[in-house]
Amino acid sequence: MKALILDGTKSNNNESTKIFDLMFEELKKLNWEVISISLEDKDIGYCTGCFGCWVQTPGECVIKDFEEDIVRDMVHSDLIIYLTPIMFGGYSSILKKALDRQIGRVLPYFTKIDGEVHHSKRYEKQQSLLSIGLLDKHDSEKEEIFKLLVARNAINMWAPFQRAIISLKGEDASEFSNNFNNALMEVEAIL
Amino acid sequence: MNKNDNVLLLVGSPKGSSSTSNSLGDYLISQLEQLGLTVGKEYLYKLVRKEEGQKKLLTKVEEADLIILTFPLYVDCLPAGVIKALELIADHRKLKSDREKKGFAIIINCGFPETQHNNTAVAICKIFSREVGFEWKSALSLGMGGAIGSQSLEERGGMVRNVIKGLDLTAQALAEGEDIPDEAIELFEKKFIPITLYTKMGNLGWNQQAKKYGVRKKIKDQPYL
Repeated sequence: MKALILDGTKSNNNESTKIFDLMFEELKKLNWEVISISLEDKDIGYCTGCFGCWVQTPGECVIKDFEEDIVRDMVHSDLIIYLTPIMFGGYSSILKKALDRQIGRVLPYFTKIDGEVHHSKRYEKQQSLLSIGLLDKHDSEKEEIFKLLVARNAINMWAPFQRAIISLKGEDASEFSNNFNNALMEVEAIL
Repeated sequence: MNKNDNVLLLVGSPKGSSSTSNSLGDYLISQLEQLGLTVGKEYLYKLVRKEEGQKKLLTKVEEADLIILTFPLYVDCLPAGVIKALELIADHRKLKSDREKKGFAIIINCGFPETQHNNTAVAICKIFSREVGFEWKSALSLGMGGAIGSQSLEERGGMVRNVIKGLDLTAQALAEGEDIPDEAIELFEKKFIPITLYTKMGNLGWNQQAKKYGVRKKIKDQPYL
């Protein structure tokens, strides 16, 4: 079982370091092989919206930088984990820069899922998605939008399982670990 | 809002002037200009990469009375460069003791035929607006954005008549200091063509583009296996 952690937080953030360590501990306990990437200092350019990954070099971005490693790791994972501060209900720009460049994982062709138009699968194997959102304090509007965003991403990227976990600053570590562990068990159940 | 007020159009597509976002924004600010407002335009992807551009962005935002953000949907959300811009603006305004109220409106477009794909991004922009003390003027949400492309709306002609009507109503309302009217929002959400036709044409279009690059037969390749 392979997990890829995409860390979209800024360095020197005690809260994200704490959450990262807790996640790592739970993954190891359950014998997951883990690749973790701190995105902040990686050479990753912005998506230019050229669709080259669909019609020029199918499945691969035309920009050659660290993102190529990320997409390869995504394809070979069973589980992708996002770690991000919740920015206005969404992801940080650090994380989103990597996510915008992943669309070569699906095909350009349109298909319908539950009556709504999306893109077809490129790969048979799909990755489950866990997204950990960090918030300083409870904000029901931001939390609701964050959960919705993760659910929408899961539909578009064909994730067989998705869960958004909100971690509030100063929250009891055992509560986070329990929630994270439960989500991992659900991911494992469908592998 | 007075007629001399400053309007700033922020184009959030990495394609810059060759984008649907720009075509939509250009038409709106041309109407606002005709109504006597002073308009300016900046391309976010040119500004957010370096410190100098970031400072320019913050200055322009502070000078504006009404900010209109136009952008494409990327992976269910705002493109990374637009999020970066919002983060910069939020950090900057956090430090300000006197936060003047500014109007904030958005135009979002996606390549999917259904506009509901845009809802999460709209909600994120609304939360941003609240957080930085802007006055939310509402959102125009468009599907089938790929059908407009970089052509001006006038060049696109009859197919986009409802989009043009919606933008005309929006310009009138914004110039008078009002929110984007519901009628404009509804006109914007009307489909240009039936969904089945759009997806068929879209799929053919992908094949044609791939053929142009000599990869028609490789379009379903799985390079990382």
